[in-house]
Amino acid sequence: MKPLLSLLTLLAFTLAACAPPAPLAAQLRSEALPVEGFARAEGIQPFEFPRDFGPHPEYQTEWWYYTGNLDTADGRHFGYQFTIFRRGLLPASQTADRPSAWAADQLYFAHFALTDIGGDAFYFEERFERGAAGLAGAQAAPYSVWLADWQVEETAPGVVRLQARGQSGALDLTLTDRKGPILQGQQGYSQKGPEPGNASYYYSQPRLESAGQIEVNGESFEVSGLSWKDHEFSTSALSPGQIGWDWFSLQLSDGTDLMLYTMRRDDGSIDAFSHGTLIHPDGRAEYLPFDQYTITVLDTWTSPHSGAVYPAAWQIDLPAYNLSLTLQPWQADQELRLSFIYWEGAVKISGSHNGQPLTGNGYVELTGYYASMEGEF
Amino acid sequence: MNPPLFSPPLLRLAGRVLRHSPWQSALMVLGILLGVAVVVAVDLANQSASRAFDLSAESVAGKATHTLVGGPTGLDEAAYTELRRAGLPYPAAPLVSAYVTVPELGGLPLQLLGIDPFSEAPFRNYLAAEGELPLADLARFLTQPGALLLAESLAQRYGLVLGDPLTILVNGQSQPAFVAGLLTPSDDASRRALEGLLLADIATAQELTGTLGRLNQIDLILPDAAAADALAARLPTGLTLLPAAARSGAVEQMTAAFRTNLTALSLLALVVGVFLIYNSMTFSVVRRRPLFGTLRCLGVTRAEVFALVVGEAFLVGTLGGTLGVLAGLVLGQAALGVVTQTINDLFFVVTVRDVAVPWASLLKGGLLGMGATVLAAAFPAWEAANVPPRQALNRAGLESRAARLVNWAALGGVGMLLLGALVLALPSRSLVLAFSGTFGVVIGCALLTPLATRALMRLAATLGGPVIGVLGRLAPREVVNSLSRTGIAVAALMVAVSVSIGVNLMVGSFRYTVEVWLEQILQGDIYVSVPGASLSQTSAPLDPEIVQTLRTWPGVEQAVFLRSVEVDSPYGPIQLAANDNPQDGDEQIYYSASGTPTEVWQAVQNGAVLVSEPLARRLGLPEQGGTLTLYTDHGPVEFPIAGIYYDYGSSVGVVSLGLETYRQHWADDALTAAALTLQPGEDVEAVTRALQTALAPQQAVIIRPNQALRADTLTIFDRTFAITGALQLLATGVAFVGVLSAMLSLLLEKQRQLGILRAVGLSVRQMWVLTLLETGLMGAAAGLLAMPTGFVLALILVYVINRRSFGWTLQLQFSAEPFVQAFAIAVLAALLAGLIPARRMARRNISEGMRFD
Repeated sequence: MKPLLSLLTLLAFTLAACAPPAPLAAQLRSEALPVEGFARAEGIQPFEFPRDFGPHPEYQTEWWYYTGNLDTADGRHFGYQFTIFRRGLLPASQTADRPSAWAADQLYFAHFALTDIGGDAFYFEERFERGAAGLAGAQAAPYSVWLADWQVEETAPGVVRLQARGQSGALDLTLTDRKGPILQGQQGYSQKGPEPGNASYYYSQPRLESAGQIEVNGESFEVSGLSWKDHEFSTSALSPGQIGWDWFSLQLSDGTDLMLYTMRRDDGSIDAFSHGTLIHPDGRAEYLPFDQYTITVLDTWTSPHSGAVYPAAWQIDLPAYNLSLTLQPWQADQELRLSFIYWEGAVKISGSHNGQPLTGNGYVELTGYYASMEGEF
Repeated sequence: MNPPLFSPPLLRLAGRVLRHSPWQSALMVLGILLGVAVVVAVDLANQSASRAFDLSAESVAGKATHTLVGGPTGLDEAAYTELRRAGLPYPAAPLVSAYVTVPELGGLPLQLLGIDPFSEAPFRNYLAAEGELPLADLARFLTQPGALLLAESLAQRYGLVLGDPLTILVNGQSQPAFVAGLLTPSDDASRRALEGLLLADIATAQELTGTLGRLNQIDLILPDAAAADALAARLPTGLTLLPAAARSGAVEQMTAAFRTNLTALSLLALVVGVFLIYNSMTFSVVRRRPLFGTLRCLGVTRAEVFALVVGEAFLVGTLGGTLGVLAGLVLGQAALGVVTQTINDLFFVVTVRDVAVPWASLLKGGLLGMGATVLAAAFPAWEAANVPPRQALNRAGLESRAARLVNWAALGGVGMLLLGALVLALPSRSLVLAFSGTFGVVIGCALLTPLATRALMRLAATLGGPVIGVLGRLAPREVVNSLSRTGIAVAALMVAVSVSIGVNLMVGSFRYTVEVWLEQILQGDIYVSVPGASLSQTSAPLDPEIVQTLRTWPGVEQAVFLRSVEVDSPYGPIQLAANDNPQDGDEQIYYSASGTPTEVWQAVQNGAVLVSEPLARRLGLPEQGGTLTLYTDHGPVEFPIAGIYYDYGSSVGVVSLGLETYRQHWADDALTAAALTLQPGEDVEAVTRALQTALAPQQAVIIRPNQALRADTLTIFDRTFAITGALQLLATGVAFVGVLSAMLSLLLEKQRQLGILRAVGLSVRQMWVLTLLETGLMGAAAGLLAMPTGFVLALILVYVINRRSFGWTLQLQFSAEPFVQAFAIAVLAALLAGLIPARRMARRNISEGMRFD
C-alpha cells in the first residue's frame, strides 16, 4: 500500500509544520531531486529477511508504514498511522567523504496520526530529522527504524515495540507478526507505470496483533487490535497522466487480508497498472490484477479545512473470490494537512465472503484530491 | 483678558531681535548645535552599539529560554542525540558557532553559525521570512562540504553570486567553502542580523572550525522553571543548564559602564553649551534693559517680557536643536565606528554593523537642546521681567546687582562642591551617582569662578599697572566691571578646559599604569598566539605541532604556555587564563593576596585561583578568603581565591589558575598562547623571523617580540580612548564658541565706551591691545582656574569613575603637560575670540561708535 511513493520522489513538504515559523523557510518547493545515480526498481529481485527489513539507501525513497485499528475493552475505537519516510539526498556515488557525524545524505521524516472515535477527534503531526548523528535511521537486525524518540524496535523475533509521543497523543504498542512478510506485486516488484523504473519493491506484514497503550490528551487507554505494516522502496516518479491514488489495506474477520489500489488518471479512468493482493488466513498470497476487482464510490466528504472532496464510502467487489465488501470511514475527518494534504483513515468493513457475512477494519489512503499529484511532483 | 503668553507681536519682536544681531544669534545657535550634536552622536553610537549587540545576540540566541552548555570546548554532540531520543518534550536545537573572517567578505569578523535546519524553526527567525527553499537547496546545504548561506545583501556588497568560493579563516586555519544559498529576509531587523552571520549546516560548521564531535551549546525553549529544574536534575555531569538571558545579559552589562562614560562626556558638552546660552541670553537681556523698561512703561506685563526672552531662546533652541540633530547624525556614524571597534576590542564581537537610526535618540537630543536653551534663558528672562520699569532704564542697576550675585554664586558654588563631594563619598558602585557628584563638583567650581575671576583681575590690575601702564590697569578693571557677563564666559571656558585637564591626566595615568603593568607581566622575549576574528576572541588553540616546535626550538630557554578560554559560571561567562609559568606568582602585581607571592603561587599550584581586580569588583569578592564557583566538566566547583591581582588587559575580568588545575577540571589540553624566554645572547628579532618562517606552513600564528606586543597593546589602548579625545575636543569647541560669543557681545555693548576712549585719544593700536588684553586676561583666568578644577576632576575620574566603571585601580601620574596645554588653549581661544570683535571695533570710526547706542 501507500505509494506516497512518487509523491516523495518529488516531495513538497513543510519542515516542522507543527512549529511555525518554519526553518530554512520551510516550504520546500515542489521540485525534483535528481534521480540519477540512484538504483531503480527495474525487475524482480529476491527479498531476504531480515536484511530487507532495514534501509535501502541505494534507492532514493523508502518508508516504513504502520496503520492499525485498536479498541479498548469497553469498545472505544482508535485508529493510528505511524510512518517513517527516508529520502536520499545524494546517491552514494556522489557523497563526499565527510568527517562530521552530522554530515547527512539522508533525510528522514515521519507522520503520526491518531483517530479517536470516542473523542470525535483526529490528531496528526509531522517531524523531520537528518539521517545522521543517530537522530534518525533504520537498521535490519535487530530491526529498528526511528526518528528521534519516535521508533519501532524489534524486541523478539517477529515482535516489535512501536513508540511515538506527539503533541496531543502517544502510542506504545507491542506488535506481533502473525503472517510474516507478504511480497506485494510480482514477488515484491510493484510496477506503478509503463516506464521502466516506475516501480517499487514492496512487502507488507498485513496482520500484526497489537496491544498496548494509547494516550490522548493526557488520558491513557489499554487497547488491542490489528496493525498493518508496509515497507516500500524505490526511485521513481508518477507517470504522466497519473494524478493520485486510492489505497486500501483491509483486515477481515475471517482472517483474510486484502491490499488494493487504484491509480487514478487525469481523464477519470483507472490506470491499468493498479493491482492488489489477497492474503488468505494461512498466509498464502494471490496477486490481483486490475481487472479482478471493482471499487465503487458510494459517498463523498468535503473537507471543511482544505475544501478537497474525498470519497467517503466504498463498495468493493472481487467476483472471482465471491467477496463483497462495504467500507465506511470510522469518522469522516481524517485528513492530514502536512507537507502534503491527503486523507488517511480508519475504515469499518462489512460484507460477505463465499456467502458468509464478515466484518473488519482497514485503512484507506486517498491522495491527489486536494491537488493533482501530477505536476505537483 | 490676558493675551496669550507667546503673543504674535512679541514673538515677531523676538525674531527681529535675533535678526538684528545675527552674530550673536548665530553663535548661540552654533553653541546649541554643537552641544546637541555631541549628545546625539554619542547617544546614537551607544544605542546603535547596544542594539547591534541585541541583534547579534538575538540572532544567535533566538527565542531560546535556556541554553545547555558544556566546558570550554563545548559539549559532546551525543548529548543532543540522547536528549532527542529520550523524547525531550521541548524544542531543542544544537548549535556550533565560531567567529571567522572571510577575505571575500571584507575580512571583518562574522559569526559562523552551524545549525540543524530540522530543529531551528522555533528558535531563530532569520530564516522564517525566507518563503520557500527548494528541496534541492536544502539537499545542497546538507550534503555539500563547505556550503554556506548568507544574506543576499552581504553577497551583493561584495559582488558574490551563488556558487562562488569563500575562504574561511578560523583559528589560524584557512578552509574552503562556497556560497550555497542567499537569504533575503523580508524585514530590516532580520536583514541586519543576518549580515553578520554565515549559516552552515552543523556538520559543515564542525568541519570548518575543526570541532568534530562537539557542539557549542544546545538551545532550549522550556515552558517554566519547573521544567528547567526537572531537566537540570537529569543532566549528566559536565552539562549545565543556564537561562539564556543570563549569558547575554552578563555580556551586555559589561559594556554598560563604557557607554555610561560616553554619555556623561557628551552631556558635559551640553552643559558647556548651556553655559553659553545662559551667557548669550544674559547679554541680550542686559543690552535691552532700556527696551524692556520702555515696554514695561508702555504696559507690557512681566509675563510678556518673560515670554519674549524665553521666546527668543525657544527660537534659538529649536534652530540649534534641529541643526544639532542633523550634525549629530553625521557625527554619530563616525562615533559608531569607534564605539563598535572598542566594544570588539574589549568586550565581544559585534557582527551587526548597520543599525537603524534610533529616532528616539534624535528626538531626545533635539528636545534636550531646546529644553536646555529655554532653561538657560529662564533666569535672564526672569531678571528682565522683574526689573521695575523705572529701574530698567537705569543702566547702573545691573552691575551692582551682579556684584552681589557673584558672592551668592560663590556661596552656592561652595555648597555644590560640598554636595558633590558628599555624593562622591557615598559608598556606592553607582556610576550615575558618581557622575552626578562629578557634575556637582564641576558646577560648584564654575559658580566660584566669577569670584575668583574678580580676585584674579584685581591682582592683575595691581601687577599689570606698573608693567603695561594705563591699559594694564584698565583691562582687568573692565573685566571686573562687566563681571555679570565675563564671569560666565570665563566659567564656561574654565569648565571645558578643566575637563580637558582631567581627562588628559586620567588617560595619561591610565596609560602609565598599563605601561608599568605590561613591563611587569611581559617577561618573555617572544609571544606566540593565534589570530582571532577579533581581539576579544582569544581562545583559538595553537596547533599541537606548533606547541612541540616551540618547546624544542633552538635558543629557547623556557617556553611557557597559556590556555585562555571562556567557561560558564553562576555569574555568567568567565574568562579563564590557565598557565604553566613557574614564575607567575612573582610576575603578577597583587592588589590583595593571602600571603607572600611565593605562598600565593603555592596555593595556586594546589588548586586555588587568582582573580583580576575588575572581576573581583564586578562580583563584589572579598579581599581575603573569597571563593569562586565555576562550572567544570564535573559540575560546579568552588575554587578558593588566593589573591586578587592587577590586570588591565580586560575590564570584564579574568580568573588565572595553574594549567594543571585547569586540566583536572576540564578535559581540554589545547593551548592558546606561548611566551618564550630565549637563552642569553640570542637575537630576539632573528629568532622571531626564523619562527615565523618555520611555523607559517602549519598554522597562521602571530609571533611577536615583547616590544611589538607591548606596542600593539598600547595601540589598542589609544584606540579605546580616541573617542574620549574627540569628545573632549568638541567640548572645548563649544567653550570657544562661548568665549567668542561673550566677547562679541561684550565689545558690542562697550562700543560707546570705546568710542569715548577713542575720542579722548586711544589709538587704534591701543584699542587692539586693550581688547586683546581683556580677552587674554579672561582666558588666562579660565586657564588658571581650570588647573585646580581639572586636577580634582582627574582625581575623581581615576579614583571613582574608573574604578566604578571598569574596576581598575590606576596610579595617578602627574604631569605638567595637560596643565600647560589647557592654559594655552584657554588663552588662545580667548585671544582668538577677541580678534573678531576687535577688528570690527577698529574699523568703525569714532563718531559712529559713539552714536551706536
